Amino acid sequence: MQFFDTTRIRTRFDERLPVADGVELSVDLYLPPEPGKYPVLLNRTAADNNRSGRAGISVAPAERWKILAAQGYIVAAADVRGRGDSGGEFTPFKNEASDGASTIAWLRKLEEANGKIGLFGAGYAAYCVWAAAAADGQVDAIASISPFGAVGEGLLHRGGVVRLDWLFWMHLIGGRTVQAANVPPWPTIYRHLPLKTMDEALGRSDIWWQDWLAHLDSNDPYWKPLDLAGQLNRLDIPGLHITGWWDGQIGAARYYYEATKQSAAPQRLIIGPWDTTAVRRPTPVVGGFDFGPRSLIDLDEELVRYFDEYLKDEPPKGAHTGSRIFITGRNEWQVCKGWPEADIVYEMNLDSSVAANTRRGDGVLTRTAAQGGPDIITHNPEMPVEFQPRFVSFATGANPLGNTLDQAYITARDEVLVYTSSPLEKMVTLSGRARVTLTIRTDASDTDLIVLLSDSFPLGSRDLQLSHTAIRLSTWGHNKPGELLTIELEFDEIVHDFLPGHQIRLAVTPSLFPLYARNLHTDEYIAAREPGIANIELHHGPNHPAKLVLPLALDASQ
Amino acid sequence: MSVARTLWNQHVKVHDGTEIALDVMLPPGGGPFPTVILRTPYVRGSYLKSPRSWMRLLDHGYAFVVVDIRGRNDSGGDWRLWIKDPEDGHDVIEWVAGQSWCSGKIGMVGGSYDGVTQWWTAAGRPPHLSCIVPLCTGHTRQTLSNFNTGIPVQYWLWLMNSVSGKTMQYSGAPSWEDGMMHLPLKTLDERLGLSRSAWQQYVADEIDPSSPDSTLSNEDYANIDIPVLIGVGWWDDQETIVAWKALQQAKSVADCRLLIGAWDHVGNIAPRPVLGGLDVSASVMDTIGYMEKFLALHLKGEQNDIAEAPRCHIFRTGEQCWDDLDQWPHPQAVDIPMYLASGGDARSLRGNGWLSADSVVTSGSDTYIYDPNNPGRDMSNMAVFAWSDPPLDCRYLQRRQDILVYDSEPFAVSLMLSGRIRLRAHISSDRPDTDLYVGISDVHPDGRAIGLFATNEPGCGLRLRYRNGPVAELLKPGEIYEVEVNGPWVHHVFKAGHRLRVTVNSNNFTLMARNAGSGKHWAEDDVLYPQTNTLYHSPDKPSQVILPVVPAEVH
Repeated sequence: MQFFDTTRIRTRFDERLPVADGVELSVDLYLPPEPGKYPVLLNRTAADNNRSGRAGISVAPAERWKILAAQGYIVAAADVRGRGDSGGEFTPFKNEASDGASTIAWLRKLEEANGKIGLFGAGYAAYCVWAAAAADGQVDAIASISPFGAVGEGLLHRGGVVRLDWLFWMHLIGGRTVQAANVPPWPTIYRHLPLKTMDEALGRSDIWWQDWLAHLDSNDPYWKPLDLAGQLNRLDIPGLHITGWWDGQIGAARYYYEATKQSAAPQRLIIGPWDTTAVRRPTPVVGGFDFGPRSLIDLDEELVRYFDEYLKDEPPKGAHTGSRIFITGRNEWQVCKGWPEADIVYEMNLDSSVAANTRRGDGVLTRTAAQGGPDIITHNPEMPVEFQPRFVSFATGANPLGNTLDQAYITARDEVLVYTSSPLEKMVTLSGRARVTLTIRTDASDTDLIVLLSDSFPLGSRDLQLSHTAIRLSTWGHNKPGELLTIELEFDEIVHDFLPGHQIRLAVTPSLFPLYARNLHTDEYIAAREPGIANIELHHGPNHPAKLVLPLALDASQ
Repeated sequence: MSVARTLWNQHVKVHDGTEIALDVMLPPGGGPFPTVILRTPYVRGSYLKSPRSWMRLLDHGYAFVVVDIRGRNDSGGDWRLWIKDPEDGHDVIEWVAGQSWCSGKIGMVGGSYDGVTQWWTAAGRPPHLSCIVPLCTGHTRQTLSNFNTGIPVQYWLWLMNSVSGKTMQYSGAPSWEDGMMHLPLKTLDERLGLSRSAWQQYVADEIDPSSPDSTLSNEDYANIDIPVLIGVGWWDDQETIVAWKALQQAKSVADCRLLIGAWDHVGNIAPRPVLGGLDVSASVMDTIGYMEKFLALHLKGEQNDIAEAPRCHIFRTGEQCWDDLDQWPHPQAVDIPMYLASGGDARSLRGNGWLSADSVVTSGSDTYIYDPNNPGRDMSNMAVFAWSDPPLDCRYLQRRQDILVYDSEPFAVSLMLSGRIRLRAHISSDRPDTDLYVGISDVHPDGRAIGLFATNEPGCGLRLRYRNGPVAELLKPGEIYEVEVNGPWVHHVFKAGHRLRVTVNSNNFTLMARNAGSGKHWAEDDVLYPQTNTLYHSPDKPSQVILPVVPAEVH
């Protein structure tokens, strides 16, 4: 984006906005240099409205607000209730709909507001966007980056397996300001048992960990503030949806997209080769894989041009139109109609002869019917499979080896079953949500399975994790020790080319710690203190379905 | 950084029921641990994010506790800038002392406002406070407001922005460059969108860092019976040195220490080898390590080399080496005047001003016009951090026509100064009020004029209506007054071949407010009048700079 003169914009810091229950919220206003009538852009954040937080874009958020003001917007940067300079008490999700709607109503009355209002945010702030939009019903455009939402799709847990990075997030937003991320001894804290009092090991009693764990069921009324689809699908609000293939919130992004897609308003989608960090500030290298300079886009520019189009009625400019996804493998952007869909599905069976344990085992993905006996995992949660080598913290840059997407350290563990296709003769493009069917027997009253889909590079040189899914068997319904159970799991969206010579790989692990909490193989998941041992059989063969269903694109370029 | 256990957002109920928030970092081991506390308005968590700063204390077996002061961040109650809180300090210290992980030996650390909070805590005399390490902070009681200058500090709005509301505000957000020229100053906050900052209290003279509400009394200093380590850099808040002077009456004076390096406001934690235009690599030291030894002596009873060392560890600028002295300023320093003289026009470094050891060489005066509508600007970057300039080559200011410049001859042998430089001048103005600043620079043989003191620090100036004390007495236009203006504290050697340069002017903007020359209240002026000022230097009306000279045979 070009430089702008921000030296003469007008500012009004810490405007106090009273809401219905007497609490005062704090809003900073950035106005264009000359008095006039302008559209308003609202960002409500739990991360600090001007200083330490990253709004998803650019450097210090305030620098961003100044640039937007210089381009003819009134920017309202708000601290949510109980955070930063706002009054009241913060409880995640609880008040954002009503506080957001009150803020919008207040902004509409600003003397210089021309009536048009856009909302934008990343992460929790993107949840705030959707909640406020649903409550208000009349905003003119939305930009949502890596939004929070969709309990059970990654918010709190996936398939019942609790995600421990939420404890990290709660730590960050404990108290009023952003907390020191790397100070707590996380590797020790995450080993604390039982799971439900892990907040005590952290030394915090001002967070919602125990509350959240008391409401593991995604349908619990506790999560009602996140149930927005029924409102959003009736509102005609144009939306810009931004997520990444390795963005932990891709499931929530899908949720909001699917809801708004049912309305008449146009929805624009951008999915890049990004994780939770890069989706806010794109970098060419993510998780140790280089997607090249062509993967970079100027998200700042995307947002401004988008709002220009919908709030200022300016014609779309240049590349900033339509939905785009980045196809990994060929490493190029492609214009698309919307969320990726398959043209055909392609099934492969899981099989092995001796044992599929580790990537040196003989597990295969094959088109022929499986013949071999069960593969066996013995899992001791005292020695869980680690999701990152030398884990220190979930903070960006904290881990000495980085947050790698190369899962070689995972498939090196004997607790992990690995099934790999033969090297491909020609390119295959995945497009959509892959599914896997597994037939399981375990002697434990409960166990977790996390299934990883990856692209094994020629000669096994690298192993790019594409997506994963997880299930806690007790949430499936009928897990009984010793009985065979067939489960079907779905991955998140992937659009990826397996190039010739590459191999499709599936890995099944009983733990992925500390991204996911350890299952102690007892029947008291969050309250368990004593780890048990689980023997897990993965069956394949004539009567035991074990297959991977891949959605493929019939790409004209092939 | 060995943190074994953490306790976050603990709430301590103090005397009036207000809840004060703090975080506790515990080192490995069973404890109980000697404990170091930092009380801050700058959001306590910010001190946990720098592993190379105070968090290093964990590696030495201390518990480290960071505290939000009242009304800030997670602490309850209301905060008022610069209003002392000895009761809160007392109650927090005693609460910590009662925790199972605390050994009962407690010290405090921190700089700037976090140093002031230590002085205030010490004034509350909590029984378990064993020592304090206040860095780069003054807050000593003075006759005049604003560090004894009487000149409003316009920069305070920068500070007030950063601490307005409950959290830290981003300094780059306001449009400073345009906004700081705004008049009248009583609406400066509104112009910058900072109506909720403390500016109106400042305009109403309700708050001031030199006032009794903010400072310790002489009795408070006399009652201090714990060891104190004061640290500061030469290009930093020199009011810190005034606090050192005040501390000399304390009961514990024999255990008090002074550490002064060639640092700026952040340099006392992380000294840098080059500062502004100067190589100060000899001043780089492990300051946290030094302070830890002081803490170890008083919290752990560890006999280390600090125990035996002279009380003052002082960097000698100019010669770039360290001195260890039992007292500072150097006990042998004696005040020696040099006289300002000229050939009739001392304006700018191209003028004909000079310094003479003899009082009767010239008879005359120098006149300059200070136009506050066209003020010289210091190099401070308001969008980043405006407090303390590094040692810059000050010729960018000295080339202007609104500054008088007086140079000594190049010294044949080196000259050492230790103490405070002052200007005693005869002066007149055509306006009812004006300001006077004195600057000192070391002119190198190649012409560089390195300021001995940050050009934008308060403390080296005087608003002339306050020349006789806190009751304003406007000037009679044309009448000649003898005034004394404080210059910088120094511990400096002018090497052979160097010159000493004295500058006199009426402007230190944007740090200090411009004098409108009207005689009105500073916040009311919306018109700025040029001030024609004359400095006299004749035998009966001499102007002199008073230098604390250390005799050559001593140093």
